[in-house]
Amino acid sequence: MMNIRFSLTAILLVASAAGAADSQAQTTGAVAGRIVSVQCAAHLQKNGTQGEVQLSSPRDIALGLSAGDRVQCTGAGYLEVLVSTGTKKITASDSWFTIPPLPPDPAFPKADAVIAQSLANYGRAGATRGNATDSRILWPSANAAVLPDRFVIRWAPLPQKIVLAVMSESKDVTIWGPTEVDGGAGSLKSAALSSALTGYKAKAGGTALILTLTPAKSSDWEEVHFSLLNARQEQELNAQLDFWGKNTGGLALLLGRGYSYSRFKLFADAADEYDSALSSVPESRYLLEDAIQANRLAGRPSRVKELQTRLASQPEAVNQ
Amino acid sequence: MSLAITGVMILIKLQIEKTDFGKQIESMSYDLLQHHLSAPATIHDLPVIVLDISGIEMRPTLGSQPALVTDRAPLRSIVEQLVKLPNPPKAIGLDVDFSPDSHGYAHPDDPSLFDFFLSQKIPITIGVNSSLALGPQRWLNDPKYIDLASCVVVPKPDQGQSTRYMPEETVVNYPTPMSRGIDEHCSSMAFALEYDTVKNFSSGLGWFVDTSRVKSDRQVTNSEFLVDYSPLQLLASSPPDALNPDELAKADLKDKIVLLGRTKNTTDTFTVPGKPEQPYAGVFLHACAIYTMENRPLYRLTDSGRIAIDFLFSLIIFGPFLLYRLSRHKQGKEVVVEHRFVGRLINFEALLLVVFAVWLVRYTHLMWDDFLLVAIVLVAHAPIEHATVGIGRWLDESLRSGRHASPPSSGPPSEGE
Repeated sequence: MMNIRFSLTAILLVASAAGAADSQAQTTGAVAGRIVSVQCAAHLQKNGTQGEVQLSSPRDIALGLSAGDRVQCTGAGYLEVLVSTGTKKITASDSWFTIPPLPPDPAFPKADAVIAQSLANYGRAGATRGNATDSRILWPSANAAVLPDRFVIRWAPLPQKIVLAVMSESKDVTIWGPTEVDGGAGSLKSAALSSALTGYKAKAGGTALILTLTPAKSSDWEEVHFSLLNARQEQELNAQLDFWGKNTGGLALLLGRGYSYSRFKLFADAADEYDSALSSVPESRYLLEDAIQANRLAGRPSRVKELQTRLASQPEAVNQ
Repeated sequence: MSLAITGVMILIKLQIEKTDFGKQIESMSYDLLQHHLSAPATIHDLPVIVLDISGIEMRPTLGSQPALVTDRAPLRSIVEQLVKLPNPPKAIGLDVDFSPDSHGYAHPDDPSLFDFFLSQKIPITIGVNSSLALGPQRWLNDPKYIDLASCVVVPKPDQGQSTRYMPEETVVNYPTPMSRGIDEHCSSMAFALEYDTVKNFSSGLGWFVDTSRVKSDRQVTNSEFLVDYSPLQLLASSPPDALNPDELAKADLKDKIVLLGRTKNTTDTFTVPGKPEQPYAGVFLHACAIYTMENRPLYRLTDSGRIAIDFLFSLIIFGPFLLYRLSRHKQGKEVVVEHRFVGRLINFEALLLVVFAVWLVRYTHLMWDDFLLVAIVLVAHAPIEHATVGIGRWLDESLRSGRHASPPSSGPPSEGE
């Protein structure tokens, strides 16, 4: 049975971490709530400040809120906020609603904010946590997971033929290929490939795979390790997707599904969900940031670039 | 009068030091001194070696940690190879930030990797930074891993400078309800591997020079020391690829401290004194810190030492004139020194000062970063001297006219200049 509380907490954490990933390897401040819908004259008071800012739709949809922030709805209509206990509908009769803190994770202590700030003031880590090495293979990205029936290979286009192959991780079984394709195409979706992956999983039960890409007439090849979900993971994923389908709708449903796919490293599917969420509220800069991060993990550089251009043209975040 | 001129010149120099121009000159002086520290002849003379792990892929981890982190399997494999070498290294440092956060480990495989490191006979240390905020003993989440942790922070440089200092240790005070809190000491990677502190100046010259300084910000205190970057070029020129067994076999690792770090395609790059044109990966800074600890520390002037050395050098230059003038006065002779001669002599002495400060640094290790300012002020002494002499004469004449108004005195004549 799925742990509902955990899932809702995790979506908020993941969503907050995704937004911060560009600027920091790890974030200590967590988003404890998100604006899902603004159907009234709504106001936000950030924790520790006296001033109020007006919330508007669609600009502030998916805006991250910290524990202690307060929101209010005045007049007719309602405001919906996703918090760790579920979606909260706020009307004028509720007066101010304070965003509750995320439930503590017993396994890991909370960071001391004062110490964290002092450490950041002093310097930065002189150690590796750096960038990924450039690879021609865009998808699957390293360590990602895929579903056989939706599997697509993407690479940085090359003006020559390339040879693709999928092998077991120990390289003792060639599951598909080697197949020569046009390097300029940049992607390949093949029924034969999907079928081969499904067959391998059913017969051998293996999930760890390697995709190799070799430019024709070249010994310079690249490989990426990825995996198929095993039966248990697929069951868990489906349970989570069912939960989101039954308990949420609209934007919350898309965010929830995006989280679940991310958790199982199905980054391409996660990016699709975040893209859908963005298309439902295209003016939300916060959803744009989420979609950029998701597409980056899914190895879609052109989409990332397009979204970044859109982000650059957006007005500055006013409520963060 | 010469003493007054010296005092005025020191005051002027102290004011210039506070300006952007003064800071630039000091930075230039420090770079010059770093350049002239004696570098080891070959890589074999170094106590530390950097092995490049740039070839290891960065893996995305999702859930609590969406960032890319260094893949753990190749890291483990490299360490396994190193500890199995017939002539294994003395110690191994992994310049990789393993900091967990309040949501979990940086990589799911970290606990098993840490267990593996702890089981080795060779001392192994790994990097942490932000996780110091998680609480005492929690830097690698589980207290049983605390002995593996070392701090890999590189301090922000002072304004107008590059990274001169590296920390020796970071002390974090964790608040407790009933006491002043618990102090936990996180050794820097260099200190954790070298097991030695930077030697302090033990003689009576502590008021004049020291080897470290302390920086505090609320609950975090860092003691830091000046780093000798003279081996940087040797370390950074084609470090062996840790993923290449042939290169690993060729590298002379016996009794050396081995640092594993990403030297390319990394975000942890820093500029260092003497080489401002190129940023260097953090692992090289840690290696130079180890070298400094193993070798000789660099000395910095204390505030009192700085004033003393400024005064001393000014006095060395003006002292002979002072003595000459005093002796001429005592003999009742007129003081005749051609100004042009004085100017040339002082310029020559300023030049000597520069040459000696730079040339001697390889022996003294004294990073006297305002020697150029002192030299500049000395060279520009003429207008200062004229102004000071003018004021002195005016005072003298005022006193004389005061004496003429009162009954005649039988005291000695005033000294004049």
